[in-house]
Amino acid sequence: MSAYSFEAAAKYYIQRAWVHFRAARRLQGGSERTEPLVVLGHHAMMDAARALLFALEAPVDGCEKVLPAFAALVAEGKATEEMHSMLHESASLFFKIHRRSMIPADPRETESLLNNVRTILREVRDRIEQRYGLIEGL
Amino acid sequence: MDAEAAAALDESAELLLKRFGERLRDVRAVREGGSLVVMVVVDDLAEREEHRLYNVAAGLSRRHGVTVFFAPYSTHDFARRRPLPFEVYMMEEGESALAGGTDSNEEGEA
Repeated sequence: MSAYSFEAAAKYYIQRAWVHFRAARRLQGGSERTEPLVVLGHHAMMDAARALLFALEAPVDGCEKVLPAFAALVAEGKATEEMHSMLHESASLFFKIHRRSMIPADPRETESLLNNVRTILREVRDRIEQRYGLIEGL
Repeated sequence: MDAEAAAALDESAELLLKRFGERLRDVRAVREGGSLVVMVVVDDLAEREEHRLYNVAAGLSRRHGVTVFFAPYSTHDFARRRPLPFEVYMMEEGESALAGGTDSNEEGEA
């Protein structure tokens, strides 16, 4: 039995990220509450970031470690400040609705988050495909 | 608070003072694992100003090696939320970053 490769993990997380994103897009406009979009959008962001970390052979254990690991990629020139800022903004929105008391998600912030998710997903998908070839379902 | 978090908090307070001036009422921070949670209370904080703070936090995180999360409030809104759990926690456990203490317990935005 062979062990999972970083390639398999990178493809797994980017595929799952797209599933979260598509679920968010299906929900968009269907409810006055935008918090579910933030949750799905943030999970898509985290999975995309983890996919890139696997592809760059720098995997991390746990969502809390994703942001510092991504900041380290920026310092190494392997990711851009813009990508890190979008990831951080997503985490800030998730923190806002998850930790703070009775704070709703702003619809404009949610729209901006989903636009950022789309940008990150495309960037990470393209980088993974450049490294490992086409990804099934994307 | 460890040196990385203390440096991130010092720069946060400096940037927030520069950005909001006398409207800045309180800055308090708690270290949580790899994160630094910074509560910010500002008179008449606009949504656009709040949104821009996310980018500021991202830059601080990259510079200091600690993930900074801002929890921004308008003074009036903070007064309403003062009895709620997260806000109580930040007031009780948070380290103040403003010289001369804080006045977020007082009425603001008269």
